[in-house]
Amino acid sequence: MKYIILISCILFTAVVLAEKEFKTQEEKEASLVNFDSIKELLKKDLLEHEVKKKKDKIKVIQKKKTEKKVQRYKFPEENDFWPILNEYWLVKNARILKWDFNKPDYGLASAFTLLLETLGFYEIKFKILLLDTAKVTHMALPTGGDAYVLMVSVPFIRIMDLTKLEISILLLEDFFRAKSELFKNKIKDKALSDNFGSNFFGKKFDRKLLDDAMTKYDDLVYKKGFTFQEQFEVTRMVSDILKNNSKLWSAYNGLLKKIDHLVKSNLLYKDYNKIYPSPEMQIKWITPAEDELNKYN
Amino acid sequence: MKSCFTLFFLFMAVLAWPKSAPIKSIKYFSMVYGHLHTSALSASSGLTALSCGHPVKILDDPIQTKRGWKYVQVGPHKGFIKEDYLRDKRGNCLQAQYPKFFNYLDLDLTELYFWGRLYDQYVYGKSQVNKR
Repeated sequence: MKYIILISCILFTAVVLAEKEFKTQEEKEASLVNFDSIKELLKKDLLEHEVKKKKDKIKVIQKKKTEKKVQRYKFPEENDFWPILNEYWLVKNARILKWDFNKPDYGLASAFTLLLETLGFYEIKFKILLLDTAKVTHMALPTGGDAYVLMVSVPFIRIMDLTKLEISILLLEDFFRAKSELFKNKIKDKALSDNFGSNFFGKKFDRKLLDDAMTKYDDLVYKKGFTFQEQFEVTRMVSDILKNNSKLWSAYNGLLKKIDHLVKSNLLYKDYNKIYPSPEMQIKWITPAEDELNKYN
Repeated sequence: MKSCFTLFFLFMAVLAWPKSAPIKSIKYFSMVYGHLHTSALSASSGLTALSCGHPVKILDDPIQTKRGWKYVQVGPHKGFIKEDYLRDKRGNCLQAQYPKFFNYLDLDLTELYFWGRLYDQYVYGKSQVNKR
């Protein structure tokens, strides 16, 4: 018992000492000697200049220390904020999204890389996260300029028996959404923008900023998704870029038809239209009008 | 004669002592959080958790080292880490740049575990100009 008390005392002392602010030699000296009380004596010994030098040195040290302390309270810059928030959201939603599971290498990285290179998108970094859930089918998270984060559901691609090319085109749609910053613009508000790169030293950290952003992520991914206008623009963008290659364009058309059939026939995916309205409309948007076709016949 | 035998046995004991893999270099973990793996597979279980900037001893063990992975020692544990996650210098860790902000994320142990697993689950890729 004695030993336990003794060890506890030692540990407690060590913790208390460790928590005390570290002081430099100059600061320790300054706290011990009160130069003002021996002013006359110093004057007599012509040491005033030395005292001033010492005081200035301490001031510089203390200024540097304060600067360092203030730096610790920095709110992330925008480019750093999005990767942190993405990963924070993915971690908080790990049990719903079920991304932590064993899976074979589907060869998606090489297939998507090939598609990007074929279309002339070079030096694009991306991270694909496969999900073992039908709750989220596919989605691109906001990018901070480092790498695109693309989520895709394995049950979703399996139920439609999608080829690697079709999955890559699905990812391409999401890549365009991220590139157009559709997701980011729905999360970013004035309060958040004002805080990028700011410093909250001496202020209360506004936790609500994070909580609001997380709620908006949830709403967008699980409930609201994108508008018809946004879908129209993305669909046209993808269609226009794939039109030069009939094989790719046919694959896109085929993919939309497969998704349309799935959402109409499988109750598990009935909410797909709420997130991405709607595959049926997308097919219409990319199909040339009949009178336009008649012109060539 | 007796002392000769003792010296000989001591010499043999030193030779027979199991040798630990020699340390090749020191590198630093570069992802926000991560795991030291039991084998050179992303799906393998973790021996210990790491955070960005943690020093890692690279062990020279050609039999165990697999492509894209490094055989390393972290504290008392020996295991595997993806080569891409290691840097020669400590570098800019987000936790070091924004320490107080990270404190406010208020992560529990399970969340720290998941954050480390996230990097094992990503499928990475990059399109290049000069490949075609």
